[in-house]
Amino acid sequence: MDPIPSPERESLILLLAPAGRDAKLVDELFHGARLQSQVCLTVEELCRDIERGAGAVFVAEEALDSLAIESLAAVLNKQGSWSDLPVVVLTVAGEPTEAAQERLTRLQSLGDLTLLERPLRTDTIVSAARAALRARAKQYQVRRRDAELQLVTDNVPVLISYIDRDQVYRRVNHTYFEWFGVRPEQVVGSTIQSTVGEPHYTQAQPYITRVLQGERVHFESQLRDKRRELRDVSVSYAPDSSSDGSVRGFVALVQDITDRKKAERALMESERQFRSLADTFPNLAWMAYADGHVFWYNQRWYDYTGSAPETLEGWGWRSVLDPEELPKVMERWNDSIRTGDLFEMVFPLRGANSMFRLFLTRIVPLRDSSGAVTRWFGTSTDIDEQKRAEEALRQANRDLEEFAYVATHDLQEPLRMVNIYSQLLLKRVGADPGSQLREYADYVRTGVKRMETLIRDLLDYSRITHGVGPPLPFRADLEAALRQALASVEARVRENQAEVTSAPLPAVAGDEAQLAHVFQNLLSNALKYRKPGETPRIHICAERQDAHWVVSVQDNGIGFDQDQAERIFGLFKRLHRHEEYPGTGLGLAICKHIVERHRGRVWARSQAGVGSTFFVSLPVAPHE
Amino acid sequence: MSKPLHVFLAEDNPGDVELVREALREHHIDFQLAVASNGAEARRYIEAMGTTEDAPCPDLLLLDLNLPQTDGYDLFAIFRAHPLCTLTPVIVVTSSDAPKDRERAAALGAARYFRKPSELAEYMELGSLIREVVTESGVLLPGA
Repeated sequence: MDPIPSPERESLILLLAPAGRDAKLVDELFHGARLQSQVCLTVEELCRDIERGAGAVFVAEEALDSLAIESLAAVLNKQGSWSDLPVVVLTVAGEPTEAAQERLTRLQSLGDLTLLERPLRTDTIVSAARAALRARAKQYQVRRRDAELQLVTDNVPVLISYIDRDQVYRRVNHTYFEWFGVRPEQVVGSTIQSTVGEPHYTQAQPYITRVLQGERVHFESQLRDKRRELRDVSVSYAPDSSSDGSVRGFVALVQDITDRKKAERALMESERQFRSLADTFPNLAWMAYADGHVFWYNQRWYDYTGSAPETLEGWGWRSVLDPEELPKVMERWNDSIRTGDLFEMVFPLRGANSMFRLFLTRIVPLRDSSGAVTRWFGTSTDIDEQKRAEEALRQANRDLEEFAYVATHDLQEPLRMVNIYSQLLLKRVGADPGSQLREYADYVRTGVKRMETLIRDLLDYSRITHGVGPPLPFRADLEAALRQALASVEARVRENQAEVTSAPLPAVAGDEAQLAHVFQNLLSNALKYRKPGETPRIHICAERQDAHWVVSVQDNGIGFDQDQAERIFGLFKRLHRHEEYPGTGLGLAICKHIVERHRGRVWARSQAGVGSTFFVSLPVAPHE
Repeated sequence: MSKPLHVFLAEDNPGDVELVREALREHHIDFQLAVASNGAEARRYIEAMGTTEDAPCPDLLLLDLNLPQTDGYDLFAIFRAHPLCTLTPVIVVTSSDAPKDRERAAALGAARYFRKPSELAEYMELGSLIREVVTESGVLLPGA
């Protein structure tokens, strides 16, 4: 496209009249009429100035020999389609010669030619100049509008083109260059087929046919760019119809939608993966719109209920609920839909075999960035077995409690009678202190006491080893557990004038009460097996080892041989005669069971006559 | 001369019946003891209470919670519902040390909760407990 000249040149009149004073006279005349003019001395100069932009050309006939006409014709031929430079020829008076007539005919074929015969009236020449400049100004205006349009279209990242009814590009924007690497002027004049490539053209052809029949069309396709990369495109054709309905051509808009398509494909793929995943997992799963209308169930749901998709869509799931439970479920579900709160409820669902099984149903809201619920995602987990197991566990616990009661009451009651009546017997016979009768009665009492302790310890042991307790809590504060244990041995600490010290203790994963029991056993032992004549000193501390805390209870008691260190944790294993150190041999066995139930370990290090240290390793509390 | 303290004892273990007598004797309480050794006997006694000379309205109920053929708490309630015994003190005498038993006994309005000890001397303390309770209830204690 030829460049737009400066505004001054748009109204500049070029003069060529090499002979006589004509040029000078006309130039002065134009100046007097406030018209811009410039005198050219040669045809070559005139041609150069025309190319730089001009409003009109005034030329004396005698300057136009055939060579000059050819030069001028060459310049005028190069004009853009918008341009038709007015040329005024000042002819010689009288009938032209044959040769002159021929030259003028040749000039006329080149464009807007006006002949003025000399001698001239000044107003004639000025009005001719004004008419020429007015016509020229309109051409420049068209030229500017066209340039504006081009600027706009060139800066849109969309292919824009005008295509005529022969499917030839008449106009394209700069984006063609960016996509295909060909200059717009190369594209203009070429056919669609040769520009966009065969695959895209084949796809576009039916739409081209339709737009050329006057229909506005839209379609999506793919085409290869200059890097041979495939682009997804959205194509619109708008017909350029005449008032009589005939179509001259059409405007084509081609938009790159590769990124959008890529995102759509990624979304579809992730949706497909999600659904195939959801179809394989063992829970029943489904999705609903914000208003609760279910639009998708996983395969497990259809398998379990034996229902067809069309009967479950929307609110059809109500058919697999127990009619008695349905109102409660509906109330809760409607509450969740209204408030956007998570839904969690246990209720039975009917299977394909018409049997109900218990499910835990959780429905989670999925929200958009503004927090509004867009969808609900629901799962139903079969907890029938679990419920049965829980019930069995509860029954087992009840049985154990029953046994515990029998053990305390029915086993201890007879002992109480034995003990109390042996005392009553002594009272009745009035036995003296130190008599053999007293001695026998003492044996009875000692036996009874031992039996009572044994029953109590066995009961503790059976409670722990049955392992039917509730799941362990996540966190037990060992400081608190130690405090609890110290409170229960407080009297003995005082009696023995023992010094008990401790470093700060951590929290571990486990049950505080059970770990207090462990501390209590270890502290009792430390007090019981004290060295005579020496202040009992007990120190408790903890050390982190990877994912465990190792708690130690150290004493300065009588100790034992290290080769006994394993044996002492066995059931009923004792290192001393009952008369020396009373006990059932169950305390450390209970400790071992508690610690092992916590997935920990207990062990001891000792030296006879020096003291013992008991170690308990326990898993650290979660998130610590 | 005041009349003896009427004690109704619901207890199935003869050993404990004898120990109760011993405790009362130890504390020089002049008493008349009616014993029911199971639930059915106890109910019959409560029904007949105040209507025959064999079943006088007691000044005090000593109740073992673990009687055969009945639930000790039911018996407590039945006794308490009797129009002549709405204020009669009740001492629960039991081998249970379970907190829930203590709580239930207190809720039903037991005057004391006596856990049967395994030491004779401790058992004899039941006598002084009875004396306390009876004094609180305003009955003139005989034999003291």
